Amino acid sequence: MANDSFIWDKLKIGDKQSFELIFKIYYPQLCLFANRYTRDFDMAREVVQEIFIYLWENRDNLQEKKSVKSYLYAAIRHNSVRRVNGQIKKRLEIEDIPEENIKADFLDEIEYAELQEIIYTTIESFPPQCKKIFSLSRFESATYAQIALKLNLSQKTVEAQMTKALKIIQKKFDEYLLVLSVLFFI
Amino acid sequence: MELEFLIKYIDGFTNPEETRLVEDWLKSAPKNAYYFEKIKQSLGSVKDYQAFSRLDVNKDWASVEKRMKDISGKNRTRLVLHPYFKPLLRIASVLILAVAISSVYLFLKETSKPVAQKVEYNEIIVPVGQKSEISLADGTKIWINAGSKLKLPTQFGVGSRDVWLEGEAFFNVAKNAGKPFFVHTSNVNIKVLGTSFNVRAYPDEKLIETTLIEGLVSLQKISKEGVPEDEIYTLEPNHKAVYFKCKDAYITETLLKEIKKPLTVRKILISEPVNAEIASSWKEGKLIFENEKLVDILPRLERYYGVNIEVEGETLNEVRYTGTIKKISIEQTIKALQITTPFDYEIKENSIIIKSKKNFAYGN
Repeated sequence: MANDSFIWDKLKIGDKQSFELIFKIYYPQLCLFANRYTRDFDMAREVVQEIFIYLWENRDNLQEKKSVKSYLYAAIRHNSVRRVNGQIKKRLEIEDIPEENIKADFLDEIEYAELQEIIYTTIESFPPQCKKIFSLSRFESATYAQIALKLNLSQKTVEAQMTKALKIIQKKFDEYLLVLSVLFFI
Repeated sequence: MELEFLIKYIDGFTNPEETRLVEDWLKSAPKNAYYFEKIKQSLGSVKDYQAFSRLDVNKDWASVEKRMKDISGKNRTRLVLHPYFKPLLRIASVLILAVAISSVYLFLKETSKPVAQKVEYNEIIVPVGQKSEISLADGTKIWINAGSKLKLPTQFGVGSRDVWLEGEAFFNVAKNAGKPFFVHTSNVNIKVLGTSFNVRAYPDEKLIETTLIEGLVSLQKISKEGVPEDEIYTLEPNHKAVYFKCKDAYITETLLKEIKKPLTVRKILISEPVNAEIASSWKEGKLIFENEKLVDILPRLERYYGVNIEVEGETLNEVRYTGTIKKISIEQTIKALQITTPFDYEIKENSIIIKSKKNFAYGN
């Protein structure tokens, strides 16, 4: 995880504007991460939101420079599990995490969530037609022939678009994994 | 192993031969299985993707903000973070050296009696797509970037050396302890003793940035009437001072990391140590951007080349690029950007229009 000590600094001085920006940058990824535990995206969003509120309201209690991102991951995981297990009835009550939970023994899950965000964002950035083709193929299991028929295109076009889309996704995968392998000596 | 096959395999659509190929590949090396697991886990399900694409971050932030209980006491001017609204750049049609004639009455600092003196000024106007370099009589060198104006007296006053800048310039100021050098911008005055620094104060931008390479400068805010305010800020080498003119200044992630203090309007903020070379790289005809969004890079490209660039399609603006542009044509730059993300573009007179691609054309 990259050096994020600037987040801690912003929090400590109560810089709300920066906090907003930080929320907006990390929120999608953290929701995907929470979702791995809740298996319910709306519940995941609730957990993440509550954690951010908790973080803001308790920022004065933040001790020496920690990685806020690590804290967020650990707290989200802890409270997602609690939520799913029904330990909280109606409104989410955040429990602060025991110190030892901040060790990332769930590093794999974090990586999957980070990669998932990259992939989904990449798909979102495809031009409309390519995105449509890719979604039909991947998420609705349509064959190229079916897609061609549905969108009134030649099958060659569909194939070519898919190839291009997959190439881009492959590139994103490889870039991310390259960074990982450098960091963790895989 | 092609991603296409792996995805088909994950979804259960491979024919027996393809299935065998994938399974052989999986068995052949542990890192293949590792790679496969990563892909499988991160592709996720249809539900995941659909939920993700429905995510409205701004709406959820609004909900969070409402519920955040504020700790009383701290009073900060609110900065509204708007998506960047790109102003239409007007291409300057004026040529380089224009002599502006205006008379001003100056009051000298040293004398107790005010002495009126008529001063004549030169105004150097550098249009977009160009840059200029001037040497002053005292040995000071100034590089002026595209789309900028520098006003200076034909002869410096007795107590100080003053110039007025609208745009961007890099200064190598000759040392003269008895005559401090002042750079006046719309909202900030910069006092220099002898040093190298970069000032970025474009009127159409909502912030003013000063980056110090060497030496020492001090900065002071000035009011609308041009009166300096009391507080003086000192800048050390390899630091940046930023002044936000108004509430809806656009803040890049880089800037956010560089400034530790709370982001406040109309206050001079000093950054953490920065790579000062990047701020002045335009002098060597280089444009450097590090993991910046297209929407942030385009205005700099527009100034650098003196063209107008429009983007059709929101998603393109969010794509990030890292790169250095040195002495290549605008067409070559656009082509380089296309390598990372395919898009279409059209050149009309002095305008470039970038559009998201409708149909991929496969030339390679």
